[in-house]
Amino acid sequence: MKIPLVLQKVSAGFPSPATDYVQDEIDLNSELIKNAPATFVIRVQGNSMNDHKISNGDLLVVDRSLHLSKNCIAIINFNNELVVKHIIKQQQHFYINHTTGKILIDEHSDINVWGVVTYIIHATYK
Amino acid sequence: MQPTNNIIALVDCNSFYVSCERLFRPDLKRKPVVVLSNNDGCIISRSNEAKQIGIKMGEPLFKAKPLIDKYKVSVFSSNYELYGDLSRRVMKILQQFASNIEFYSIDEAFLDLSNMNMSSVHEYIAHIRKIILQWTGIPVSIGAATTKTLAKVANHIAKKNNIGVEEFISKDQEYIDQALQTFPVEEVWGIGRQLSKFFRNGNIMNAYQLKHVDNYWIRKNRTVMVAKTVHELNGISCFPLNVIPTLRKNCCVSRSFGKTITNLPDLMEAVVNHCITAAERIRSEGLIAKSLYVFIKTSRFKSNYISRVQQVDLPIATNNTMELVHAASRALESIYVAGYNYSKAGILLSNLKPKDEYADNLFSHIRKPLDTVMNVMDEANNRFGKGAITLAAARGKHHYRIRRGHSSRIDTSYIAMAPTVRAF
Repeated sequence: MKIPLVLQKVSAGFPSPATDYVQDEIDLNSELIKNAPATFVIRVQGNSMNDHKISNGDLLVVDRSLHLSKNCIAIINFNNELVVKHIIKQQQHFYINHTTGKILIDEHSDINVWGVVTYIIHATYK
Repeated sequence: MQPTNNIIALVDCNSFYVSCERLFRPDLKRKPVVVLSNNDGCIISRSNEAKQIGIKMGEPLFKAKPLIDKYKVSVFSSNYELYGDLSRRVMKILQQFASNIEFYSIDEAFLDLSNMNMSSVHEYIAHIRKIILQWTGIPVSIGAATTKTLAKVANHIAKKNNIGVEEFISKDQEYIDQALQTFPVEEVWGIGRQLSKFFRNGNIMNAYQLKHVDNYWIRKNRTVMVAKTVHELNGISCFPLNVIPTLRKNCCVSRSFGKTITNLPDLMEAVVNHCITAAERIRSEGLIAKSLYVFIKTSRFKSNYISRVQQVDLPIATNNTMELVHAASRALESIYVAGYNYSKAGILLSNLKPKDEYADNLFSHIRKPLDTVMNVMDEANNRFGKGAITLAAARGKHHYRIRRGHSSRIDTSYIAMAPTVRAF
């Protein structure tokens, strides 16, 4: 998607001087996607992540080339289902909060990382 | 001829279509999975688990049905939007690791690594493998050697060992020869079924024996291509990387119908849609067509088999959808015979040439606006999805649509078809 970026406000009534100031276009792809071949756009189902500003129907920009960091949001393979989760870090280990308490994320277990969420795209006008 | 110092790596995606379907379905890991051809006809991709229970490559679905039911095999219709996007991602990553690449097929590429230090090849290809797996989720096997044919052998070994890579670069000749001895002659690149029969009759059973066949004798009895294959097994490169894709001469779009079609309007809708797809394809490659063929046929397996084809030579070579559709419609009308159950229709654009090869002519001023319309159409369809703008003749009841009963319906290049995850 490309949107022209205009540097001056346009006043009505006379030929727009702004046309001379069209500098470039805003390129949301390059802004939101840092590593294209590793980035996927994924839609959210359900409202369980509302506390973390993620709602049903939102689009997530997910980068598989990134590593987990403190307080990040990630797509987790949770017992063979892909879910979106908030990640907590304690003593060099990463965990997810679950009803049964916190669960360790481990590459070699059934709870591992699929990708790291870098942006949430939420529509405010429908 | 001296052995060359080339380093060629073959990157091959493992059970590619199955791996694509597994990307958003972790539950399918270590389970038997198959992907079907267009119209859900035959099995064209199998997971290792599906291979192990005895499902054969190319087998019709109905034949594999007992095994599929018994072992609860997951079955998918082919989803080329998804596979195409993941293939593009893999190829894009490869471009970061080598500047000379031959994109050999949707799931294979040859890399030129000739400038590398021989001792670091193993580490390098292992790193490429790791990055592709992490970034795209697609497992690949990589084999490196001094020729394409040997790289293919190394790749076969990489597929079976547990690290996914193999190289014949830092290894001595004895090691390579041992690998060739266990490599059946019919698996050698370029040796098909007929040739392997010929060699097996001559007691040449493996790649090592083939490597030592007298080259003069081969040339006398077989083709130069086979002689080149033998050279390549000896480490003498005869098949260089095709870095520049060769411009194609033809573009064919044809499909079998989900169910048979008898009337002309439904047939027309199918031909028009195929024509639009073909025109889009040659435009994206900067080509124009001088002639086209339209063909329709009934099932070969039923009585009353007919197959009809009409060629049209276009007055001026073009890639304009409207002009091509017009010509294709007239061609279809001329070959259509009522009273048959047609099972397949298609279009072939041929005598393709790069667009700028044709100089302006008397009608150029009429064509310019038509080309502008095409640009707008392509732009809009890119932005809003395939078929956003099309011709009225292409909009119908879609009786011709192919069967895709088991599609995952995910397209990672199109937001409306984005994969989903559960908030949890």
